[in-house]
Amino acid sequence: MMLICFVFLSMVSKTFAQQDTVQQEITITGVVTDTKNEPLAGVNVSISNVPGLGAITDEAGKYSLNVRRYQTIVFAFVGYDNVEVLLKEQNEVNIAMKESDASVINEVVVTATGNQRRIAVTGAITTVDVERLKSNPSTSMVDALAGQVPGVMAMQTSGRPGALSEFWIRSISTFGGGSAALVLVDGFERSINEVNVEDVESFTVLKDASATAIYGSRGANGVILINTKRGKDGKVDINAKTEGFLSSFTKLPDFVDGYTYASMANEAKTTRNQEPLYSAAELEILRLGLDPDLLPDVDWMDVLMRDAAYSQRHVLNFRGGGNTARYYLSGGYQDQQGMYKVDKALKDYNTNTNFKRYTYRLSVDMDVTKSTLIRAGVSGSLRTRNDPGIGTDAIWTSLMGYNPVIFPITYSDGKIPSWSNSDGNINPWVQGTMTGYRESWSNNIQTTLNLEQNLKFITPGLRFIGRYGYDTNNHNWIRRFKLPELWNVARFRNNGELVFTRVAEEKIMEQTSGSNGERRDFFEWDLIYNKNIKKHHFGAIAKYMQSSKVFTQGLGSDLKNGIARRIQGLSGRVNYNFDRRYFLDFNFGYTGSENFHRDHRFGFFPAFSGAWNVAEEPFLRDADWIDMFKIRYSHGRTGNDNLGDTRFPYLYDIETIYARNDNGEIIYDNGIPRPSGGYNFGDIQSPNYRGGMRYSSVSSPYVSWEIATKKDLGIDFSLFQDKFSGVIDLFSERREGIYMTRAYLPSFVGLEGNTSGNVGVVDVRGFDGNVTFKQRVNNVNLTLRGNMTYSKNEILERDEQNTIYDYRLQQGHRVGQARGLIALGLFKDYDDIRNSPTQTFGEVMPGDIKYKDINGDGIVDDTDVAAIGATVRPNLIYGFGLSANWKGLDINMHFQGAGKSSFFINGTTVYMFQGGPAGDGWGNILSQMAYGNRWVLGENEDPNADYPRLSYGGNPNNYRASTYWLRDGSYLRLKTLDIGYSLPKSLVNRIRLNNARFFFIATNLLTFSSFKLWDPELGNSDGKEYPLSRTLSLGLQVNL
Amino acid sequence: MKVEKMSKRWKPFHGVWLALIMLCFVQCKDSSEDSSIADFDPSKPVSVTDFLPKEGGSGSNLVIYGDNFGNDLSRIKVVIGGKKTKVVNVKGSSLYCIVPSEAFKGDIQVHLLDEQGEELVQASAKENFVYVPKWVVSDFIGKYYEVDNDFEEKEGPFDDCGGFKGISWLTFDPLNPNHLYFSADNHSARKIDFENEWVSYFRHGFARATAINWKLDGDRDMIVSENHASDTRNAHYIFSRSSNFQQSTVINQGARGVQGAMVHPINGEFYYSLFRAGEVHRYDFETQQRKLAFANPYSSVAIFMVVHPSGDYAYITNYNTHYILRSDYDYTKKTFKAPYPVAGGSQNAGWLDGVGTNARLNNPSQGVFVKNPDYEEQGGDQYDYYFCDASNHCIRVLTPRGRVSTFAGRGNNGTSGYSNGDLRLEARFNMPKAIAYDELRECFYVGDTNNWIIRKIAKETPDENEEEIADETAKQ
Repeated sequence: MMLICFVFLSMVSKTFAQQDTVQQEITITGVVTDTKNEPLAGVNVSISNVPGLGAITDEAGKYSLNVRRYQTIVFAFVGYDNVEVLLKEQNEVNIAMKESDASVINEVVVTATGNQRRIAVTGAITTVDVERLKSNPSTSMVDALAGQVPGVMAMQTSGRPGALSEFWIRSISTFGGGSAALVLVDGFERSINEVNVEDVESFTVLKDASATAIYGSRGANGVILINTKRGKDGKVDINAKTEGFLSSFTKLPDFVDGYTYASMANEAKTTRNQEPLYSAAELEILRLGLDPDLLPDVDWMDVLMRDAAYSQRHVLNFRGGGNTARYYLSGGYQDQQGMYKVDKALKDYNTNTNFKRYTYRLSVDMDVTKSTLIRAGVSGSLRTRNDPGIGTDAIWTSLMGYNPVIFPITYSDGKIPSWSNSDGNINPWVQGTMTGYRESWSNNIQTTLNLEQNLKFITPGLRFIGRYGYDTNNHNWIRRFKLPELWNVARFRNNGELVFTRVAEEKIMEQTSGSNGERRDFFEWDLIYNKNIKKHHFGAIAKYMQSSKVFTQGLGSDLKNGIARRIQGLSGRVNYNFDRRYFLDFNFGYTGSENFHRDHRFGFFPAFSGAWNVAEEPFLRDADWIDMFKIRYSHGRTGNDNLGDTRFPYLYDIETIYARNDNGEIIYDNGIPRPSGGYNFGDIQSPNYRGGMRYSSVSSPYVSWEIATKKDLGIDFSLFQDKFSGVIDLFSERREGIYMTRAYLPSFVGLEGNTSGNVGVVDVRGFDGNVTFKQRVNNVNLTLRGNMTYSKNEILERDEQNTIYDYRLQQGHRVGQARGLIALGLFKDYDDIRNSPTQTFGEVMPGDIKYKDINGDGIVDDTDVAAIGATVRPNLIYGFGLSANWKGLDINMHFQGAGKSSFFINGTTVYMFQGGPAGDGWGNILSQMAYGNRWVLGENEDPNADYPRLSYGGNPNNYRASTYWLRDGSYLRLKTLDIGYSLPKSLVNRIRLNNARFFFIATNLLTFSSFKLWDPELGNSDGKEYPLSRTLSLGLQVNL
Repeated sequence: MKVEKMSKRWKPFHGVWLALIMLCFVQCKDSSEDSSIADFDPSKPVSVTDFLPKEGGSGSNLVIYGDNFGNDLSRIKVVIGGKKTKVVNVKGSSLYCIVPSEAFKGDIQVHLLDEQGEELVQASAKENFVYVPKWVVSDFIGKYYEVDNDFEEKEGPFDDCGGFKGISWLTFDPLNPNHLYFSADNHSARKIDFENEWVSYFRHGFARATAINWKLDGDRDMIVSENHASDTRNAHYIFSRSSNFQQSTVINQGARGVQGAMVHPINGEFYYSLFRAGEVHRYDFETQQRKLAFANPYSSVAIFMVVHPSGDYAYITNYNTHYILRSDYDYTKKTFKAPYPVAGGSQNAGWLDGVGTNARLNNPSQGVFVKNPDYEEQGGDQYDYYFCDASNHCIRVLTPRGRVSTFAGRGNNGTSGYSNGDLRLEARFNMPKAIAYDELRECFYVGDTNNWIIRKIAKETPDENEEEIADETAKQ
């Protein structure tokens, strides 16, 4: 659809060049040059406040334009300052344009309290180069953040179309409340996934307390500010972009064939002195393919997975306006297709997983009076998602469970095999193509209204901004589920015939649906005052905000579910600087959430910060090698009121006690629940029994927000005419009052349930930063970039079970620390077993895992479980890249990596032949493990082998969390390779385009990691997850 | 919808993208589909070069290698030891067939047939398949239903008698080895007549019938116990042989929750277990007196009781607490004494072979004493005790010296299921609860409760077959 619009526009643009009939038009000509008198091609020449596309200069810098006398002609060119000329009597206008001064010092940074020049910023704030985020093929900007933005850690835990990455700022410093950052889009709390990256004007990450104290009890996890594009003076600026993607999996788990599987199953049995699973004759039948019913050889991944999927993305936006009103209008469409094969005979619906997103955004700025500006914006999105009826999770569970010999795709008589009728056990081909489909969609609308009033008639430098926002978000799903008749077959033939058991009846398509929704509204006002007295610069801001969120659907009968979640706050900032050399800043937030008890509702969160701009000191001011060198420090407090779904922790719940049976179900007498826990006020002959009541949840009146005390020391620098610039921050945080359930209160306290409290403490230390190096070599502009975020947290206090062994506590370790036994390799022989501490998890043989007896009590048991490795979520994220421009050609390469992460591998594939709950045979065998260095009796009795002696049907000694199964999650990958070619100006100007760029983008092209079983970025332990994609895309971007 | 249409119109455009992108990387996909199996070529000879395995019994898988077998199942016939075999699949140079029963000679012949089924050519293996007769599990009676809803309950001949739900106790008429009865809790009890190969209802008229026993004296009438939940109602009824077990008289003795019962084989008194009370009571037919024989260690358990043929002791099986106790008989007091554990761990379910209480059982139920000729030399107790281990889906053996091993079921280390064949390698049951030993035919019948059929465990013998036995007994 976008494409049609674009083509249409480019055709009509010629006919609708600027025209007006009121006054006599004349044609003026001229030449546009730069300051060196070189002609500039491609300069936009337009008439101010008149609709139309204007003209473009040719190679010789010449243009011609129809215009009337006393109109203003605007000359605009990227990288140059605009020039405006009032046309009087002349017929020729020649212009020399000056390159804009785009140095680091003039950079503008968006903060919580409005725009600030970078030089004046005293807090830890990262401004993200939005261009860098655009090459990501994902549907969410978040996927592009990791390794691109210092201070942001992100992890893509699923590759399923439309799946959302998780991200956090600097570190996860709580184990109680939520750790999600506050995302503000155009000033209001909105989803980051709502925003199309093409619509983003600025993307800012606020990391320390000085930048976030204003948000008070919501700022502790960091804040992301996204401002979307707004209208701009000048000729209409049209941008269109169209892209096609071809995606395939970065790494699909690779499984062994049927014969290898069966041979290994036999080995697993015989190596434990059991009868082999498959007889010699059965192995031969399998090898020769003589029994496609009972001994088939199926590659299930190949059965269900495509080689590649095709997706697309189109964006179109218009931007323009005049003196009194300006507009921005954009639309986007993205279609991301999944990798499941479909049944081609099925015409009525699509079972492949996919995600489609339609977005639009409209904003208008109106100058109502000379000092009053009204901004109105509406934006919205429709996001639809499709999936096979049974759902993607069940499919990946089956794909990891179905071994090649377990079942054929269909039996020779047409019956459809399945392990059982539970969702995650059904044959993957059936799951993918015969279970109907489920669709879900979210439609969200955001409305924003701003009023900006300049109050210079009261005192110069005083401004007022009022903002109001109203959002509705709705999510709906319909599941249309069906199931064919499913059969299981007995392990052996009976007189040569298959013995079937039906495991599921045919289910004709049935429908279930559901929905949820919310409504939010926001109101804010700011009063801003700036004053300069000679070298003294003052600024002050007062801000009031309130917001509410109420769920609109599926509330149930509990009244408190329908009560809006409200936040209210008053905050402010005072700043002063002397001669742009010494900066002082004080921020505060006084905010409250009505989720807490009246006495613990509001809190005061102050922060102060200061900066010293060394480069502006007189002794350095004239040094030309230093452009900026600023040292800054901040210290302050912010809070976190996000307790997840917990509502009104200070209230208790009371319920009537009813008699229950052994299964916990209420017993009914003639349809009336039987009371219990009460007293018989009558006698035995004529009872008068009254039931009792109890607390079903206990009140925790003192629960309040978590408090984060943050310190940040940073330097911003730019040296050698901006050739070398960067930002480096050292930070520390102490999070106190972490919300958690107090599960270890002694029972003599007499409580019926567990209370909650603000009891945990976590300490965080780390650094983040980025450096950029720019160099021009002949005609090539080179840019080298690098950034890194590292943090380490430590639990200082936590409510946990007391123990005599310190290492068993979570206290003293990271949040989410991996825990397990320490493996010392494999047992060498029986002597080794006899001479080692007794392991209590079951009988051991040589080739089984030997564990360390940490507490030295002579036995290895669960008390020897200790902190090992790091956390699943990486503690180090880094990225580096290289960009080069040469004439129309540009190349951009970006590597991204993560470190200090470790995760356990387990589950039905890793724990070979462990089997599922239903018995034997469940679980596929990974090729890397089968052909890797594994312990084999008589062949490879290596005590340091990568995989232990096989066992069939589980092995409680080997198959438990230990360093043996802990994997290093660090990786480095070529995240994006972006090659673009802009057509020469002379060519594109001929068809009245400003710019046309073809580009090729490849993502996840190369991955370096020691973990080979599946994509390490998933951080997944059992492989039951839709893998990430490697995407190749080709696109065209046009500007006119 | 509009969007859909538009995007369709622009499909060719997408195709261009796709083509461009596809140029960027070349992907090779190898097709592994082999359709190259040659048809049978009449101009070439057929030969059998080898086969695997070299020995086995009825129902074994057999792979035969050779040349020019063709690929049409309907055009190939394999004969082993003179018996036609079931060929499962044929692929040119190999075929897969099932060793038929009683293929004692073991010579292998492969015949290629024409479309009319006339033989074209044949080939034989040079060596013979060694046919080893062995103990195997097979179907006895009852239809195995692949689809639960197809279940049909009816009387009829052995090959068409429907399925049997709830089988809980199997017992032979002590005077007629051709009559086997089973009770089936709240489902219909049956009489299995070997002579006429006919299964008919045995109508007792109770909501839940559990144990069936036989009086020692007189006509050896049948005692059927009803399992009900009333402390005062009578539970035991004597069905007289003279009425062909159609008329009954009640034993005037209330009993609640009777699961197991037994008659002492020497003195003839009647014992029965009570579920709720966890007690075993003794009833004397002569005095019509009831008294407590002993208390079971647990109450609220189903207790099955099987007395040793000598009358010296009985096994008291605690179904819910997973172990078997032994109660010795006091000949002076003429009653059973307090029991002691002999197999399995109380309240400790599991599947583990071993000695006595080290072994683990999971819902043991009916058992049967079978004389073991191997014990003749050593003297002492001559009987092994074979019992159903229901939730382990197998038949276990308890020797007189207290060793528990697995006799049949859980083929290939699996658990439940329905498979015939080799006792431990292949056979599978699904909650077998009842077992009887047929001394005449030297085989076991197993009530495979959740498969709704009765299975047979027997050793193949080259010289006799069942019909002959039936004829013999008919003559007696």
